[in-house]
This record gives sequence, structure tokens and C-alpha cells, in this order.
Amino acid sequence: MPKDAFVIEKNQFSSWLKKLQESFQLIGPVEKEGHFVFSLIEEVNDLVMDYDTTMLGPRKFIFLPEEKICTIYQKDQGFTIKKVQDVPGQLLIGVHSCDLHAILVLDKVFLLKSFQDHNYRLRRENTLIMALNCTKVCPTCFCSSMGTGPFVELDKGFDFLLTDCGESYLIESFSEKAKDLLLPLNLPQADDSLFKKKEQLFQELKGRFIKNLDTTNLVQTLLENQDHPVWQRTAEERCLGCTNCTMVCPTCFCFNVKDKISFDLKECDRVRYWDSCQELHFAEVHGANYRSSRKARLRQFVTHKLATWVEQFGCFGCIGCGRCMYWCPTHIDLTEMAKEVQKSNFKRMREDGYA
Amino acid sequence: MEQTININLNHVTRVEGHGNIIVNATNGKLERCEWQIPESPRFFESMIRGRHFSEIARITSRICGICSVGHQLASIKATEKAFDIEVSPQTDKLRRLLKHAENFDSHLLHVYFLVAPDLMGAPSVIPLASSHPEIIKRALRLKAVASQWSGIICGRSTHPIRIIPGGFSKLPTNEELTQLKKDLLELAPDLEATTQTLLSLAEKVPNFHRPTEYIGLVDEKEYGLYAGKIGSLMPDGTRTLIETADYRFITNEWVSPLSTAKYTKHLMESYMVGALARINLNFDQLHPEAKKPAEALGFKTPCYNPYFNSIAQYIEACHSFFSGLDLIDDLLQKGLVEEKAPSYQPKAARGISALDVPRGILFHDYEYDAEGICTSANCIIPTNQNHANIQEDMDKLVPEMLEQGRNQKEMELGLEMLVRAYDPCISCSTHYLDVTFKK
Amino acid sequence: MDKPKVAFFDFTSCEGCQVEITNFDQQLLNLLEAVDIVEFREIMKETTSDPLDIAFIEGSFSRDQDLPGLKNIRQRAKIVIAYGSCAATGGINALKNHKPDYQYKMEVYGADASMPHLETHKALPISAAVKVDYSIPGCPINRDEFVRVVSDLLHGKEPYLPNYAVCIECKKKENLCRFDNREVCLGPIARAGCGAICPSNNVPCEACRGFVDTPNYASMIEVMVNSGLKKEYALTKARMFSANILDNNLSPK
Repeated sequence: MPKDAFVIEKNQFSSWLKKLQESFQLIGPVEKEGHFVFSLIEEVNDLVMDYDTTMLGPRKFIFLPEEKICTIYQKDQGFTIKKVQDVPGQLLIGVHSCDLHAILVLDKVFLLKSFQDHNYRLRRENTLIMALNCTKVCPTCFCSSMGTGPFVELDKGFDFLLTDCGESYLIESFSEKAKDLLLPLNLPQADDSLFKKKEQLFQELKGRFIKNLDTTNLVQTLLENQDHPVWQRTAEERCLGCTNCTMVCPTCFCFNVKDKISFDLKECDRVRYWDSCQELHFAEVHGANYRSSRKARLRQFVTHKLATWVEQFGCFGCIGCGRCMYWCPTHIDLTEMAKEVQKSNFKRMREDGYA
Repeated sequence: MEQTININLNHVTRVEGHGNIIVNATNGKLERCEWQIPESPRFFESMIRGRHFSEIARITSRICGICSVGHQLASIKATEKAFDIEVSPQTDKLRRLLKHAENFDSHLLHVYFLVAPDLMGAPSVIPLASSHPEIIKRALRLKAVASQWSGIICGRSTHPIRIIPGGFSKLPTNEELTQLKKDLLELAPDLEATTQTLLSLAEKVPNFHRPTEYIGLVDEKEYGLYAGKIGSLMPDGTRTLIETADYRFITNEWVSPLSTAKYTKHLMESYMVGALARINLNFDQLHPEAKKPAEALGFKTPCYNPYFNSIAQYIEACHSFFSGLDLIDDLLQKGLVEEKAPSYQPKAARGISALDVPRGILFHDYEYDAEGICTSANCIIPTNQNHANIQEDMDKLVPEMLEQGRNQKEMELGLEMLVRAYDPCISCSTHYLDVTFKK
Repeated sequence: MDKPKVAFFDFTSCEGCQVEITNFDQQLLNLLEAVDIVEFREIMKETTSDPLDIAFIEGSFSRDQDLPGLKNIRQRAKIVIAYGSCAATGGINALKNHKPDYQYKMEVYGADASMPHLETHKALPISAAVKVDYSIPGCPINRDEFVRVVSDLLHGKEPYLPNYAVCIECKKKENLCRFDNREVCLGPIARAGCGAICPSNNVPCEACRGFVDTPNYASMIEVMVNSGLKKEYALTKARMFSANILDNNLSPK
């Protein structure tokens, strides 16, 4: 149950954001060259709240595509290391349910009990999330199959939840910070009729999904079919190894680290940047590359998201946004590959004596 | 005097591309005096054949790394001529601004990096970085802003990206133009300092006088760089104007056994193109601010000393600097606006363009088929057109130097400086032409 | 300790990569403090026949008469770096390679084609003439990459070249995908390291840095054809900077 639920007129919402801009960096969906991206907002009017989806998820503001981890200075005796210490407070506006789940998945990766990634934690703690329930379903969306949408059904890990009700938003607060920010606005409470409307919108939207994936026994099915012909065939006939899928996936977390050393060796910036398991040398270790074939790398992408992630982190890595299949130049669809494995599940067939 | 001179300068330094100077004299008698071009031919005109019109400009760009802006603009203009594509006034202004950027960049590169060391008695800018650090820092500052200037308009100063038939694939922002203006204005003291530096070195520029024909663009509206007719100026003052489409009447190429680049001639045995030619043709149209350094340096037209090409280049750099600032103000008045690209269809046609790039007048001539595939191409490079003039200059200069009793080292330097003054772009000039055109 | 001696040489090229070096501004001054440039024909008169620590070579190997010069450089230099696509792979010069040379000469020089100084063979990478230790691709080179490679070598690190597609750099910038704009882009198989500069300027990638290792060229052709390009043009599209790579290693379906 939300802690508080109010109604806010859309005009008032914009003015409130302008006020918040004084204390936070505002980040939200804007239009860029015909599609949408999450961007730093200068003019609140640039926000496009009824966007369908973005190229990159909002993870890029918490887990940056390229980020300095520390600067190392050479001293007379040894080194000093200066880590990143201060980041500005930011408000992520208009995060869809799938992308919100993606951030929570990344929390599981970077904020372990045993080790908390310094930079990730710094940014995550300085980020307020204003989630937004979807009003559209794209042909490539399948969040309902993955249990991650189209409406947010979580009760923690974020701050606000907006539902578009025409002239106004239903705004619910899910954190103490959110409650404090809403207090001075003195908004009217949301009543039951509004919640009924919300439920109605939810049910309507659920019926519009074209793409579905049955996740029953999916983990086991995939893990038992590593030699299924679909991997080889797709990798050979279609996959370009371009890594677009991993770039646009909002839960991908692999990164590499490089040092930028000044010519005079006095200073070094240690930087981390997004890497990809689809890259040829990704799985290269001393002496061998254990995913030297494109088939192995493509299989890794699908099975990690839909199977081994569950063993690692207790949830699926895929949140059903469909970005990978849209931006793939050959439109490889991981749900289709999974379905092919489910349909002709070779292990099962062998056990039943059919193959 | 009865010297014996054997000059064999293989791959003259501080010029773009590879050229050799060979001079042999025994007991004061001149036996051999040659300007040779051994540059490896790359067959660009053949490379362009069979490629789609959308690729042509970027291929011809690779003819030369210094003149790539000029080649792309000339190429695009020829393609636009072939397909009857009209560009908007905004595009026209941006291209002229880009042309000025190229002029500024190339001339300053030449004057500071390639010529100044000779005038200052150094083998290159490298030792000058220690002996005259202020001058080198100044050169690098000017060069960096110049490169920025082209970069914000065409995407990258070496081998531009944004130049496409009909306009630009991406525009600079108004903020970028405003910042550029600010950066340029901060360079004004550096330009003034350059005038002073050149003034202090003026007496080091050799004295040599050989009237020749000068060819360059002549534009009614402004100092000819981007558009206009082909102008010819003879030593007796006769001026003629020729249509771009008739360029072959001027160029008349022929092959010399000394050179992988063809030579040209028009009304005399050779002609000169480049900054000196342009200033001789169009001095009155120089920006008033550029006439000031001209005056300060005692530069008058007509000037028949090829060594003064470098001075002419500096004056043109000033002209481009001030004209560029005027254009930026003009563009910022309304601000840049996103425009719809003009619509056009490729067709079987021929297009010819003439552009006056830093080193001289450049011609691109293409024929396309109905699908927009290039069937033949012809590029006549400024340096091609200067080779014969260099040879003629050497034929007069060498006997003069022998007469003056110069020793071998002095003669070598004098000849190298002569070649450098032309700012030749030798890789560019080893192009060849298809001499058969379907009419 | 003596500064490492470096020299720049050029063969069949447009010299654009050298020009890029003169645009380095402050980085050039930093570079000059870290190394000793002993030969650089385009801006320096000084030459030397001393041993070199690093020799940078620009341009393709396209004439037999250049072989002795190249061998001499290899002999003198501890490390030879081929920089720019022409030196690294043959670059755009290789576009002429699939036509027999004599045919080119006839087309271009006409009756004068038989003159000896017009003799050339195919445009090849420098590695076809002498052993090359590192290659820096690009047409022209990317300044930051050049500085990084030199910096790595000076610090005793093995410089590396990105072996992933331009798409990575394009996606990180969230550029509009050229395919979405109904254009054909070689980004998915082109080698990154340029910051996806062409798509960032709204022009499709032409793979001027060559391809990643083991590209799926057949699938790329299909993607291009599905985007509306005629198959014969799809086959020649990638030749622009990579004619040598295609002719020698891969045969498209």
C-alpha cells in the first residue's frame, strides 16, 4: 500500500518540477531525432511524458557508460588515490515499470551484502526515482510475461509513482523523501474512484500485449539445451556480433577498466566503461578465449538473461522491454529463440524417447 | 663565375608530397635543371568510376589531407551542377564560411610550419619550439582554432563528414558559432603579432622577378574563392574571363617524362595559380582589414615574385579571418535554422565545378548515368597547374644564381624556398585524367 | 635518460594523418617533451640515418621502388607503427586493386601509359613489405587514439585496438541509428575507436578503420539489401576502405 496518494494537475506538476530543479538535476524522457532518450532537462516543457520507450534505459545515470573511478597521483614516495566523492542529487522522472525493475536488478548486482560498488552506491543514494505507469504497449514489449509491468506493482526501491489520469496524475509516494517533498504542496488526497480508474487502465493495458513468453521451467529448459541448433543457426545466419543488444539492455552490468596515464607519469585517471559479452575478446583470459565462437556468445546473452541470472541473483535478468530486438540490425528476438527451445526441448524429447 | 654545382634534392622537405630538384652545372655552364615529380600515382579518377554519387565527395577528399575541404566542396558543387540541385542561402553562407576556414588553416600551416623555418634560419619548427617558444605556441593556437572552425561546420577538418549534396548532414549550433566568434576575436593579437614577425623577416624573402600568366576565380560579388568565372591576367595587364565549363581551354594538359603529374599551359609557356595569382587578379576586393597588413608589409600588385606567394597567403589568411567574422555575424543575426534538404533525382548528366582552394584553382568534372553512378571523372589540381611554372622559374632563377656567384648550399636553399613558396600539394597533383569525354 | 627517438615517414598517401598531428595543439607540445622527433619530412629538413626507437609510417606500399626505403626503415627502427588506414590495410588506395593495373594506366594516362615512372602495383598495407609491430587504423587517424598508443608504448604497455563494433560507441551516445533513417551503415561490423564520428554527424559509417576480427559479412550484406540497397552495390559498399581485407580474406555469398 502506498504511504500517501494524491492528485496533481498536470500544470501544477510542471511548476513543481521547475521548483525541484533548484535542488536536483532533473532527468527525463525528451525527443531526439525522432525517438526518445533520457536526458538532463533544462526546460521542463521538453519532457515527453507519454513516450513509448527510449534507446538506453535510465541506468545510464546511475551506472554510467563511462565513468571515472578514481585519480591516482604520483608523489615522491608512493601514490595518493582520490575517489569520486561528490555527485549531484538527481531526480529520474517518468521511469516505466520495466526500467524501474531494471534498476532494482542492478541494485542486486552492485549492492551486495559483502561488497557495495562505491560509484554505483554514491549515485544510487543520490537518485530519486519518479516512476510512471505506462499508457502504451509496443509490439516488442513483453513485461507482463516477465512480471515487470506494465504497471508498477512494487512497494519499495523508488520514491514516486505517477499514473496518467487525463488532466492530472495520480501521484503516490513510496519513501520518506517523497513524502517530505509532497508535503508543502498540500495536494488533495486521491479517492477510491481514482484507484478504480487506475485498476481499469491496468487491465486494459494488459490485454494489449502482442508478445508473450511462458517462463514456466524456462531456466531449466534453457540450461538443458545448450546444444540446441537454434544457437548455431542464429549466430551464423544473422548475428553480426555488433553488441547493440547489450548496449541497450537496461540490466547489462559488464564493464571494463582502463587507465589514462599522463605523458609525464604524474597522474592517472582510472576509468570504467560498458563492456559487452558479445565482443570477441570478452571471454579471453590468460591463454584462452572460452567463448571464441559467435554461437557461444549469442547463447550466453540469452541464457544469462533468462536462466543463469536467476541462479546468480534470484530473479530474471530480462525485464521484457524489447529494446534488444528492436535495435538489433537483424532483429534477433530472444523470446523467439527461447520459444524454439521450449518447443523442441531436446532433453525432454530424448528422455521421452523421441530423439 | 665558374662553379661546378651538383644539386640532387631527393624528396624536397617541408612540402606536401614528393618532388626532386636536380641541377647540374659544370664550370658555370648549366647542363640540367629539373623539377621532377616522382609521387606515386594513385588513380583516383579510376577509383571514382562506378561509385554512387553519395560517395564521390568523400573519395575525392582522400586525394589530399590538407586540401580535403576544398576537394569535397568542389566535388559536391560538380555533383549539384549535374543534378540541378539548388542550395539554400544558409547553406551557401556556411560553405563560404567553411572555405574561409580552410584558407585560414592551410595558409597559416604553410607560413608557420613550412616557410617560417627558412626565414628564421632553422631546419624546422621543432628547434624553434625551444628557441622561439612564443612563436610556436602562437602558431599552435592559431592552428587549433582554425581546425575547430572547420570542425564545427563540416564535422572534421581533415576529410570532412557533413558535406552532402544539397547541404549539410548536420548544422553547427548557434552557441558553437557564438563561441567560435569569441575564440577568433581572441586571436586578433596573434594575427597582429604575425604581421610583425613577417615584417621583421621581410628582407630574408629572396628577390626574384618573372612575370607570368596568373589564373584564378573572379567573382563579381567578392574576392574569388568559392564561385565565379575563370580569370586570366597577363603581364601586359590583359584580363580575360572564361566560363567554368570551358576550363579545358585553359588547362591543356600534357605529360612530361619528368613527372607523374601532368603539366598545363594557356597563353604562355606556363601559368601560376594560388594566393599570389588571386591577389594579383582581385586585390581590390580584399577585405579592408586585410589591406592593412598588405600595406604594412609593402605588398603591391601586380607582384611577379613567386617567393611572395607566402606573403600573399598571409594576407589572404587575414582576409578570410575578417570575412569569416562578418559571415558569422550575418548567420547569427537570424540564427541557424534546420532546413529541409532540397529534393532531387540523379540523372544522366555532366557537372563541372571550379573552386579556388588555398593552393589555387581546382576543377572537378564528373559524368553520371541515370542511376547516379559516376561513369567518368576528371580532377585538375592547382599544383598540377603550377608545375610548369616552377620549371620555368627554375630555368630563369638558376642561371641568375650562377651569375651572382652563389655556392651550392645557397642555391639549394634558394631552390627549395622557391618550391616551398608555391605551397605545392604534390600528392594531389598526381592525378590523372581521362582524356576522352563523351559529349 | 635519453628521450626516445621517433621519426615519421610517408609513402603512397594523402598525408592527412600527418596533418592531424599538427592539429594536436597542447598535446603536440606534451608529445614533443616526451619524445625526440628526428625526422618528419613534411615539416622538417633534418634527416638522420641513426637508429630509431619508433618509426611511424603513413601510406600504402604500392611501388617496388619503395621497398628498399621501407626495408631501411625497418632495419633502423625498434618499433614500426603503420598509422592511418592506407598503411594499416591499404585503405582507399586499394579501391583500384581489383582492376588489373595496366587497365588503370590506360584509362588514366592513355597513350603515355608505358612511361616507366608510372609503374605501380596493387596498393598494399606496409605489412606486405616489412614487419609492422602495431597498426593504428583510421582515415584519418583519431588523435586521441594516436596519443594513447604513443603514451602506452612510452610507458611500456602493450597498446591495444578496440575489437568491437562502431555500434557500441554510437549507442553510448544514443545517436539515431542510420538504419532507422533508411540508410545503410557499416557500423555493426566496422572497427570502433573513432567515437562513431560519422553517425554522430548523421552520415552512415563507411568502415574507414576496417572491420572487427571475424565479421559476419554475409549477414551484413543481407541487412544492406533488406534496407533497399541493390546487391551489387551492397557488395561494393564495404570495399571503399577495405578492398584489401575483402579480396584477401572473405568471399561474400
